[in-house]
Amino acid sequence: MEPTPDPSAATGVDLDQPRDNRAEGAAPPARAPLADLADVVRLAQDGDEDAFRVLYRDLQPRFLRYLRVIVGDEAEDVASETWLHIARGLSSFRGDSDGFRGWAATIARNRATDHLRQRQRRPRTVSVPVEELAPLAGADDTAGRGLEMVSTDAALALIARLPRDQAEAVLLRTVMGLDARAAAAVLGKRPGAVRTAAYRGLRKLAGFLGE
Amino acid sequence: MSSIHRGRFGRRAAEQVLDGVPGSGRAGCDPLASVLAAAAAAARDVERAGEDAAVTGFLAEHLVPVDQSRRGQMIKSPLAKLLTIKAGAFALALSAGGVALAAGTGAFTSSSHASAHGAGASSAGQQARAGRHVGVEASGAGAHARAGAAGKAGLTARILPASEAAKTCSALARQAYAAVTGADARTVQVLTETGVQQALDSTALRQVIIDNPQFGSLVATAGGQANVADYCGLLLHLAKLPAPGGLVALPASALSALPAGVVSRIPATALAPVPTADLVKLPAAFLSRLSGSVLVRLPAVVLVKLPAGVLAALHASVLAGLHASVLAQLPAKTLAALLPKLPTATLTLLPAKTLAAALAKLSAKAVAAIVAKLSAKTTAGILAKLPAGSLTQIVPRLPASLVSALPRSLLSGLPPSVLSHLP
Repeated sequence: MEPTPDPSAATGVDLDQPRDNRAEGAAPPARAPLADLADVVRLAQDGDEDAFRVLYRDLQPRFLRYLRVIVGDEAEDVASETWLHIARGLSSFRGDSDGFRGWAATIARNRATDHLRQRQRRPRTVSVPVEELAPLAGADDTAGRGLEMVSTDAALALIARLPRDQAEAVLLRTVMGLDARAAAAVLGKRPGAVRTAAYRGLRKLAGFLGE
Repeated sequence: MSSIHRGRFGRRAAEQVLDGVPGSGRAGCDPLASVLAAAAAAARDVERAGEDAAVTGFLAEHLVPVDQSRRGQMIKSPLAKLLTIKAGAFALALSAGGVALAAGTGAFTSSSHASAHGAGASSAGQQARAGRHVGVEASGAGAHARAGAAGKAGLTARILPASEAAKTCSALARQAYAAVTGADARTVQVLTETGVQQALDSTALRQVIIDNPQFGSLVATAGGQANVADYCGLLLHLAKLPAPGGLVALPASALSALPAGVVSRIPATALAPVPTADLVKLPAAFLSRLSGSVLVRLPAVVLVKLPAGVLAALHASVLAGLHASVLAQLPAKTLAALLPKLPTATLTLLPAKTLAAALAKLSAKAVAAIVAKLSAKTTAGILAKLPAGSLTQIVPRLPASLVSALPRSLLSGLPPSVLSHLP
């Protein structure tokens, strides 16, 4: 079942609004502490170990998921390298919390790209046991049964089937938690291009689910 | 419900799903939304492995003398939009309110409890080890924790290090905010910048300080109760800076101990109205960390307090902003350190006597390099003021074209051994 684009929504002016503004009012409590990250970042820049641990706990799972799609089973190695670079460059980082996550994502992406270049191998080999993919097979069956039906690994495996630019756009937005602008900065593209890539990626994902 | 799976899926819906906007179906029953939610689901413990290794790397990078790291640090954040607690207290906030740090997409939120407990345990261990988290504990939440902190501190006022003072300021702001709004202090965990500003500006601040002896050290550090709001405003990176009078009212020890990130973001406008008589009282440790653009606007009598190294470390473009008349008032030794970086235009404007005095502090080689930038006429004027001994060393190092343009009267005093080598 291929979804059709909604022409009226395609010109939606609010797409350029920063996400935090748009979500204002109806924001779930989970959104508020975003800026807390800025404070934690500052402490970490001053050498505070606890603050660094908080950053690690926030970012490492995101890195691993993003990197698994990009470099496959070597995600952990690339993530470790990423942290070394973060530790080294942390004091030179300037920006807010959103900026920090984007900055960190850029480092992870650069490490991944270097890694791929060195290994001269095809990217995106996510090894997921077949049975984990099973819940995705019958999309209609999963409908109504909640997200616990789809494991994170299976979701990543599905995203890994996308062309890399679409997969990256989707991952940076959802897993890394970046808005379109921050994701665009990481990818070195215009926000519009990243929105389009993410949109196409979602449509393709929906197509996979409808297969 | 975004109808992702029902055929009508537009870009706006896509953006909402990507943003995890509530009601967009991300966590609902839509299969696509479920996939995205699963991709961004709560982190599993295994995904946080490797933390200690990363921390080891981090500590290795940050185990540098404090002075060096401070000196290298420039302003890092354009005013934090929200103020909050730090890692340890952060964990408390997590466990208490179920508020998650990783909020961008709603990802990892449901694991906040698990991670909070981990963070809390680690933090508690740190407190026990180092006993350096009094501020955090005080900011923790409950009266019980505060009492514990006060007990630990023995209620003896002491000068707090800046990091601890900042934490205490956060705690104070939260309590004052609670007092203003009539909220239970325990429920106030995160304040917006505006909230902090309100709290610090409020009349309740004074009462909270009086009622809570654990803020005694903060008062002592700020040099008096009246300075607390200004001092905390600075430490907490609030947009509203202290009035110029407020800044100079802070004790030299507090100003000197302000983090580099705080000092470097003080704009020139904050210091411009301060009378020179007050500026000269500011400690060099504070002045020397002001941004270059602020430094060049300071009066010469203030700049002379600075170590030559601080001025010499400024970028040449910043130095170019220093007026020659200001430079002329610097001690010869300080000026000498700056000369190699000064633009020719500034050099030309310096009084020959001043320049000569500064040059006399430099090696012949350095002098030759500087003089070579100047016109023969200016050079002659400067050289004429240098002692004959240094002239003997400098002249042979000058470019031939410059030497041949120097007046004979200047060269006549040179020994024959030097003259014989000249064109």
